[in-house]
Amino acid sequence: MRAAERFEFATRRDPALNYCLWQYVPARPAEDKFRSINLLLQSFEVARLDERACDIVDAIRGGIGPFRTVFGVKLIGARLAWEFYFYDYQRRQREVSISRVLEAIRPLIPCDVRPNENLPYFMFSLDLDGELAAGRRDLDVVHMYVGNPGSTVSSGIAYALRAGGATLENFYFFFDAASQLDEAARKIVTSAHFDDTRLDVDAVLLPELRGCRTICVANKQTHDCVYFSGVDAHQLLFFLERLTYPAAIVSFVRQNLANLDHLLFDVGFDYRMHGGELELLKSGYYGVF
Amino acid sequence: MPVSETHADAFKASIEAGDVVIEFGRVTVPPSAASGGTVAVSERVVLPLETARRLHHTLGEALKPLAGALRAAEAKALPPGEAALAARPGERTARAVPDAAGESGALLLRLVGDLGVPFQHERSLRIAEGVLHADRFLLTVERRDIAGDARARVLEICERLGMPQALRAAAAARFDMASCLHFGFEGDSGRAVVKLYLERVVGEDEARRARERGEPALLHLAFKWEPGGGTEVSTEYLWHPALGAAEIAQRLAQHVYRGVEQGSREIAQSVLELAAARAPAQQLQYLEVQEPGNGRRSFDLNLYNARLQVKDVQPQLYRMRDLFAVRPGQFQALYDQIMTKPLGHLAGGVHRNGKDFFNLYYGVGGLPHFHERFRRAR
Repeated sequence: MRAAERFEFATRRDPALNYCLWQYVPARPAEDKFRSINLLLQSFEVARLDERACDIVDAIRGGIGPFRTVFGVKLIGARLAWEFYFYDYQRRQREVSISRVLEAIRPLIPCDVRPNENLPYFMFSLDLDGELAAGRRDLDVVHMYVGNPGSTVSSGIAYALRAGGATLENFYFFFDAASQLDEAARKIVTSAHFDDTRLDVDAVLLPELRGCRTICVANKQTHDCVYFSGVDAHQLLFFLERLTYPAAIVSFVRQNLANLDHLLFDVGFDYRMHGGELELLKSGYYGVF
Repeated sequence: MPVSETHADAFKASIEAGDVVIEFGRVTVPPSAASGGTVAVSERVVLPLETARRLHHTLGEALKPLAGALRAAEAKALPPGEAALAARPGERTARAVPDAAGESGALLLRLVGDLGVPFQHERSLRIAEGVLHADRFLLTVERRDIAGDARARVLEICERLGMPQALRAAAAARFDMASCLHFGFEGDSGRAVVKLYLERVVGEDEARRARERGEPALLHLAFKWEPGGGTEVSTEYLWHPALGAAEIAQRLAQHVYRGVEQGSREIAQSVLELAAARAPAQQLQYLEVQEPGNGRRSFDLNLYNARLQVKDVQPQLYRMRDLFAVRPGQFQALYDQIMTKPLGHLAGGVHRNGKDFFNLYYGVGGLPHFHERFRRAR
């Protein structure tokens, strides 16, 4: 089935949610325009992903309900990959647990990770790629996120859960784009992976995107990452062109700007400095289904 | 530790990292035209979303008894005309015109419930040029379950719902054919249509003879009317027993969609092919529908044996949406609710108004839910 044959359209009851599942006020009435899931479905088609990928989406949504899953479409080198993110800020009183989601997708994606549901995580995520979608391998890692008490800004820590145990992955720090831009910039330049005497922070804190709602800076093991939350459809298009996404994805967004202009999107890229230049390692754009 | 009491007359709420943060304080400089005022913040409370939701609910409940006083206090700042309305906000809705169609539907549900017998409830949607109607249902009762004079009790329900005299007489005359009764309701665009279907048993011999002669057998006879006057029609549902998929497709092309532009026939055939891949077509009950005196030419394909869900025909439904130019957001809102319901049957063709249409029946379930018969059926 072609992606367009699966496209979903916004109803007047659709919530507007960002990649943390926080509500925002849409720029204009959403009804009859695209739901952001169409970006996900279109990327599946561009990557010629197995039809089971759509079944996985259906299984997740059937398992936990609509508008509770954030998706990320990632560009890693020239390859597309995907990640699904789940939030439940109730922590131990959570409804959306790792166990519940793994159970929902088990017929399609077996996973031998055994989560400890006593841990106070508020978020977790699952990777998806072509091999997983086609059922050629099992899911071997779940990313789990906990809070970061002591941080002066909103913050989180990610761990990778595997059958053998948990390993530290990333630290995330959230800044209000309007009032904490300087703090975000300081966070970016306070890193082993960025030398602001050789490169202006604007190379990361892109002027075209920093007028968003929230900026998140992440420190990862071998590099850093920045996310711009709450960008509009035109900024999304800028991002896709800047990060050299496949032409089919860029043209899809360009042709459907009017169908996407009620939504705010979230985008981000992983980077590090190499020889005085900014090296872009990975990027992603996000939506909700 | 003793709990201290703090007074506040100002607050600010925000969401931070998924928690609701409420800051309380006292106004030190009141707001004016020149400035927004100043608040001395004394408390900062961080609530998980769920706790904030409960707080919101609890505050709403706590304030309900004071709603009138609060409205009156707020109204003091308004001009007299606006103040009167603001203090009595319910008055406009109190004068709203009752929804006659909705009342008919509710009455039908109540009267069938009053029969005191188990019944099946099935919803349906109609999609036609520019419209999507979903305020439709069908209630099915076994005649043998109705105690006493079934004819009188059923026709009394119809009479309560304004069945015209001529239809009542016709239904009374044919009532003995019924082994099963269906009450239908459509409440589309504020216009109600009520229906009574008499379903007969077509025995194996009759079905075989019909098949051998290439003729249909009467399965349902329906009486349809508008309670307030208007539409008044009887409809025959003719079963073509044991047709194969190719034969059904041929009848769709040569009878139902004869002379009709491409589009709907392809959709109907696509659903047929999907169902025939799940169950022998001979087990799908194919009916043709006609109404003396008008040009209705439609079909009804029973899909229960194919064990499909609504989402299994999503591509076909999307094609209907596009063919009939139904607003996608309106369609999506309905589809989201029904996608996992069992698919019952598909009807379509040319309606009595000459317009192309589809009806999709879905979500059949037994009522009352706790009835022993339905518990066993599970």
